[in-house]
Amino acid sequence: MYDPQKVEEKWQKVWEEMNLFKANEGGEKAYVLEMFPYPSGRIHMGHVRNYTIGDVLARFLRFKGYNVLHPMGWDAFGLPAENAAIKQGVHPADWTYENISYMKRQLKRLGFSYDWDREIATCDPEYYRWNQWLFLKFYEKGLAYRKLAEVNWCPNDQTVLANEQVVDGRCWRCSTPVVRKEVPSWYLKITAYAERLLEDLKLLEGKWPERVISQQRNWIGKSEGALIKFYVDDIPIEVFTTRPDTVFGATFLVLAPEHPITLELAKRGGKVQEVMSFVRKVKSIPVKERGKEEEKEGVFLGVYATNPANGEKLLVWSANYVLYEYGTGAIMAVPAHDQRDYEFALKYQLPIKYVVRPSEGDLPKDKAYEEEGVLIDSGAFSGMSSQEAKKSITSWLKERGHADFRITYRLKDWNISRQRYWGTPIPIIYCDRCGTVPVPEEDLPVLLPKNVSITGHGNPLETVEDFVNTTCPKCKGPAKRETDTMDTFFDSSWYFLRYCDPKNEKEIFQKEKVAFWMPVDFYIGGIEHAVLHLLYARFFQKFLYDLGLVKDKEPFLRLITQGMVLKKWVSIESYLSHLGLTQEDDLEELFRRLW
Amino acid sequence: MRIGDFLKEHKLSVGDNVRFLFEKLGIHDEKLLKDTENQMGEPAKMSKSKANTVDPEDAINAYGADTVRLYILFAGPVEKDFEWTDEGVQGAYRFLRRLWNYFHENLEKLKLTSYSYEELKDLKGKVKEIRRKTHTTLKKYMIDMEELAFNTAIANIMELMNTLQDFEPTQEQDYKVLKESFEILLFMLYPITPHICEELWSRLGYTKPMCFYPFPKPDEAALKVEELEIPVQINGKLRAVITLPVDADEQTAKSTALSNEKVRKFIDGKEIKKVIYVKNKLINLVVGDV
Repeated sequence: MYDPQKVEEKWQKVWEEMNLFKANEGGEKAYVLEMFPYPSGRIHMGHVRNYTIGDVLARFLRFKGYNVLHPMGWDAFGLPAENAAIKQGVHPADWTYENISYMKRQLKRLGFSYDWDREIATCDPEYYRWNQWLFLKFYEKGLAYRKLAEVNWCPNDQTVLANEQVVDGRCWRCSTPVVRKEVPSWYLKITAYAERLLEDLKLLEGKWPERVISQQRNWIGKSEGALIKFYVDDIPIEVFTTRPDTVFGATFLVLAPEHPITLELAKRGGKVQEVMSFVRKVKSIPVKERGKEEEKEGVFLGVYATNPANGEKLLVWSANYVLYEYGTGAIMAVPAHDQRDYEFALKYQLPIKYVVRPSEGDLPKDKAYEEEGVLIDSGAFSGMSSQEAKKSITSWLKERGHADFRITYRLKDWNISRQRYWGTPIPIIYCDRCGTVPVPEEDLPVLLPKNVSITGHGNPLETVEDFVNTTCPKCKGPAKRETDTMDTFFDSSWYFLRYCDPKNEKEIFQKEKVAFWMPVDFYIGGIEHAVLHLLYARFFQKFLYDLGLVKDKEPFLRLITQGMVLKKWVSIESYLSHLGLTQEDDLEELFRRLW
Repeated sequence: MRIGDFLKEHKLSVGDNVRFLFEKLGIHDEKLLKDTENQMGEPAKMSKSKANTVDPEDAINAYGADTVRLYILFAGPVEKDFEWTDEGVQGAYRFLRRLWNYFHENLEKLKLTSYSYEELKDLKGKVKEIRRKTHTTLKKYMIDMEELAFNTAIANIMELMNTLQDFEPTQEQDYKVLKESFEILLFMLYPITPHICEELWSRLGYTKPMCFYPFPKPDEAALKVEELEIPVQINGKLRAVITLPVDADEQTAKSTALSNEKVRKFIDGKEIKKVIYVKNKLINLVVGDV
């Protein structure tokens, strides 16, 4: 009789006792890695699929004679543990470690051939101290900085809410409407690596799914164009455009409501009241929602700028469809050749002037012509192709000090600050005398205090006095610790390196060990990580490459994005409609149809 | 009472799984629920909110880890979504049980059997076919695994298993071939369903886990198909000789004959009225004017 339970238990024990899957340096290596799980409590079928694929590869490669590294660990910091603490009063650490031990047993029952000696949990101080060390390196290189960030704020709980804690615009716990608030936050300057992150995607072609590569390319969003200066009297307004060939068709300028000179210009134009109320209204809507806004709205600032190409006077507006975070936060509106500008111009009856026509055929009616073509009504540039005119017009304006060539990226710097307890403390100290002081390396780790009360009100760390109050490493006077913790994507941006040398107490890892095992030969996980995790991990790898700690430019040689596990289900709604019933019908009728 | 009020009373929303409505109505009928799902269900990503999850632990308790692993890999290409069905996982379980049983039916004989490559060189007939099938499967397997086409690799292993089951070994040589085939099959399945393979391997008398033994390599000589020279007649007259694999079907025989230079000369502009094919003996084409 085939008794799988008995057979499986027996062999799992044999493998474990023989230490069969332990990996040591030597021979020809293969590194098989599955994206490590968040210890949510129990594994689900998606995990099983993910890890089964990895395990088959690992076991097959061992047969082929490779020395296989196949590790497993836990992405263990994060919000659910803190939510469990708020709801059930259990400490996030206890909750997390219990989940880890349960899930580990579950994984063992599946017979995965992991080298469990290399297990890591990102919430262990032995791991997160190296997060802090990395942060100090970023800081030292000028790649970590602090600026204001817009966050969700619950005025009742006095706490910052993650996006997933905002339900229909309200706080998930107390249903108070969430407001926008600006808080100082730590950023990593990933934009300094934008070009390399884009360029090195070429190394991954044919090895990563094309879909992931193109998602990363779009996320980085490189555009080449020109930075053009328009003047309102003595005040310059810089705009970035990818279509300098259409500058003769600019009929007005639009500033984002948050643009610092919006109000200044409104003052000059005598429109302060109107503009202020408009800005207030737009600011109440989160930036993320604004792009989706169907209705474009704007307000005239009462001033005019000069088009440097033809000297024409242009109205200056502020509108909700221009975002301060993108480009320069101001645009030259060319309604004839940009559909959004076109719609805005129609609504507010602003002039529309065509300056590019298709090389064949006619200009479209009732909409903007967004393609390239041949220039018309553009002075000396008329008759030139768009391609050529982009360069010529920019050079011509540049000679006269009005423009320059410019490349921009859609990619923004990464806000790693979280006003949360269950994460890696950011190793920074604020001193009244010395200012912002990084924690010296030898003082790491900055331990996350265990005695904390997690109530859902405020940032828990702020109330732990032993933690907050410290001495300044420079002047030894009293000082305060940073209470923000790190985004957990920080933790997962380099864990694959730590697996190569997981128990090192002296350094983040031994260079030689990482040189032996890296890069990861097969990395397996869900497509949902196409941009954030996989982009951040590539960023960290490049940063460590610059520090001379790793030899590979890219961390993951081959990426496998496994599909989802689906199952059929029927909702009450579709069941009722299948029976030809609605909620208005009588329950008796449902019973009658059922039998 | 309105249906809507009943839902409200029981804190249900129309977006919930109909399973909860049945429960609240006091209907505990797994079959009705399954029929409903089969009839009007929509496949969706497993999620708690839709209550359409299968707990891996339940699946392991019911079928074992090997079955779950086998099913998950067999159900479709790795990068594609696949729909979990009870029938599917049961099918995987039945396959492993079949493997287990068939193995044990032959175990006593196989334990007493040993073989060497040398002994398996000059085979004839059925055993030669079995051995060819085994080594062809192994060769395809190596390519499929490199390409991460686990589902096709498994399908081929299952096909090999069917072939072995149809084989009725009687002589010593039969068992030598069967043993080799079995061992190769175990190695191919090992990365996918390691536990059952280790167990069967040890029952063959091996004392160490499978990873201590060399993975088999396809024997190129065994892959070769035996060929025969077959005369081609046109209207009863010998016009050419073609080479065909042993036991080639009529389709193969006909297309090979028609692509022969000499044959084409004789049938050019004529209509083929009839093909008479005697397996491994001859092919006769009856042609006439169009």
